[in-house]
Amino acid sequence: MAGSVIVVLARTPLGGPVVVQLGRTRLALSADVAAKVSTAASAAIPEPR
Amino acid sequence: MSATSPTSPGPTSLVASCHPARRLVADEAAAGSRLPVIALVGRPNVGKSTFLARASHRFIETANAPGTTVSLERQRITVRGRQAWLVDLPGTRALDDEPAADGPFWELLLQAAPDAILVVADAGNLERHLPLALACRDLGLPIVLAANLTDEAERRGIGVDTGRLAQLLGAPVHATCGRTGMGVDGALEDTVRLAGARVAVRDGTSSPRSTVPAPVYPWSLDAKLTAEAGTILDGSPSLGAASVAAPLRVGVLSNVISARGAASIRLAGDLEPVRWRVAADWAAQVERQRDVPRLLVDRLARWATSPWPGIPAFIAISLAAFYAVITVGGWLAAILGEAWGATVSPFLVAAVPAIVPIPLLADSLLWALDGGVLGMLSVGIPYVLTFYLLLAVLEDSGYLTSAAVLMDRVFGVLGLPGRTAIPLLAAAGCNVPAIYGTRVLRTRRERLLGSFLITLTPCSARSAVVIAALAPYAGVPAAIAAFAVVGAAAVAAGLGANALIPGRQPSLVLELAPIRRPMLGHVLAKAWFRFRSFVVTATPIMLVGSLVLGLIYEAGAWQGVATLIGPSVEQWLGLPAIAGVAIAFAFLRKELALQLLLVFAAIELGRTADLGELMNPAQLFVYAVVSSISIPCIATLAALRGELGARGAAGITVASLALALGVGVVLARLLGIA
Repeated sequence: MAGSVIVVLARTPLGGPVVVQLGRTRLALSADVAAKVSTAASAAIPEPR
Repeated sequence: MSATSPTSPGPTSLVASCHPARRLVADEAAAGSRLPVIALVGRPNVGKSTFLARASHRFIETANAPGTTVSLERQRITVRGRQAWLVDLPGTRALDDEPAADGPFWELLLQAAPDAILVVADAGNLERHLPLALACRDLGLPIVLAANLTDEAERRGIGVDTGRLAQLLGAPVHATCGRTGMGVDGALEDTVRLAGARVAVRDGTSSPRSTVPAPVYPWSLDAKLTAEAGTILDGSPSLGAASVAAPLRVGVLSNVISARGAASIRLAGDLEPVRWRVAADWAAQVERQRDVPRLLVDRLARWATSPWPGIPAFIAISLAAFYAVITVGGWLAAILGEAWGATVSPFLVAAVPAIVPIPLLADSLLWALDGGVLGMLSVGIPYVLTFYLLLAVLEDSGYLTSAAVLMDRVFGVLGLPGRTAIPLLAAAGCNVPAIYGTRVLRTRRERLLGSFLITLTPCSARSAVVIAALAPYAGVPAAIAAFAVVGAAAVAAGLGANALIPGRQPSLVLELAPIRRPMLGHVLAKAWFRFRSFVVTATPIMLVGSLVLGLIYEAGAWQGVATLIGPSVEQWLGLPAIAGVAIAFAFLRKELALQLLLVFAAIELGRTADLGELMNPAQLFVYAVVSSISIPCIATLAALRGELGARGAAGITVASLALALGVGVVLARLLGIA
């Protein structure tokens, strides 16, 4: 997963989750996870819960 | 293929006792009728439960949302004359994931003691699903891969070369569609055949080499696996925590998994990145992508999680669902209530005193048989059934996970994930199914906080009390204001509980379900499955509760209660003593907060009941708010005890009672009645 390209699809208001497209999967990431992903090109997205 | 025979035991839950599957295997072996066991494994929302339902012709709880399978369900199936047990396991991303928050997935798998694994994967997203198939393959068990959801993959222009994938995986691969049944029989047939062969391996009548997979990992990792397998067989103390090593060793020694399989679980951290690389490589080799127009459901899925139009759509859908529950539920309640009153009720009123000669007992029995059943018909059945139908539609469409994302920030303030919106919406119909719905929450803290908020959410019975007590005597704005006060109190209490209970909400990483057209059969079956469970749980409690209430009332014991709590109710809340009695007895059934008050009003005033004469608008306002917030009804309490234990249930009960009294005292002071 490290180094994968993600596309931001939507940002929910009030600093809520960011919806991203990773390959053929849509993921919702809370703001703290999204910040880690966007600031480190090699950061791995944790498995969804 | 056929479903289980009429004489077969049918679906059985495997979570009730420790290692029941292993005991089952032992029992059957002793009886000389050892059936192969097949484990159904896959990532969440890939259609395992639908697959199982299709295979066994029986409905299993399914939803277009992660986490539908919360326990192990097994079905006996017959495929071309061969019988086997098919065990449905919760969706998981990896073998060391914790899908049910009470242990890693591999422990559940060992409990199921499978002879073969049927891995269900998304044909349209193999790169993400093949790592789990590889992990299952590493266990040393025969596997079959079902490339499922082929209908959706096809619509997106994705085809899979199953022959090539079977070559790479070293296992049979079938293109399947659980919703239509396409390919399911073939996948099951292969799995039952391999599971039967595995039983033969265990019996020593076949060579174990037939189930050993070909290696796919680099030689260094392979050597590490071999060394670790040797350590597990030796039982060396260097294995680390006994809690992890012991069940793995038991699994190896009882021949459920191979020693290398146990080692692959121990070395999951090393293997997982390699599995993802292998999966990406294989997916690139076997997938065939063609250009197709973008699907409407994909656009809808994207809109559903965007602020615009997602949030207005969420509000509209929530209001429409609420309105539908109230309207359809009310309509059904009127029909059922009138039918009961016109047919069964007169018969019971005549028959019970004739059969039971003791008037006190006969009258009390009528409370249960007439009043209790009428309560179920006029509240439980209409509103809960309507809500379950709507919930099933929203779940099957995949919309609920989108709603969970939109609501995540709002509920995050209360220490809860967005998926709490699902049981909270259910709570507006009835708190009991909503409490069971908190199983979608992962931690005990979340379930405790969520259950507390649910008990503070006015159910249909409590909403009816608020509306009926206030709208005619204090006006509709007063009823709306009462709901606002209850809502504000719930939010304040939720904030307080979030601050007081140790821990914090984990970060959200949620895989969103695709938007799909709901299937009528699924929706009806799912609603019926849940509704039946609700009726079975709630009816005895309603009957016994009504009987106890009837005995207390008919024996005149309520006057003693009024004497006991009357001074406090009058002084603190500014209400007449009998209002306190009605609130206390509403513990049995919430709608009694109004019904009983009308009866007491008639006794007190000596004529036809009129709440407006018993209490002024300010008193009615305080009464409506306090009765709405105060302790959960007995059915909700039973659900709380079952889900959170006696301590959790007691804590929530005490907290809601304290909150009700606190809000009531403040309101009484502000309104000048105390």
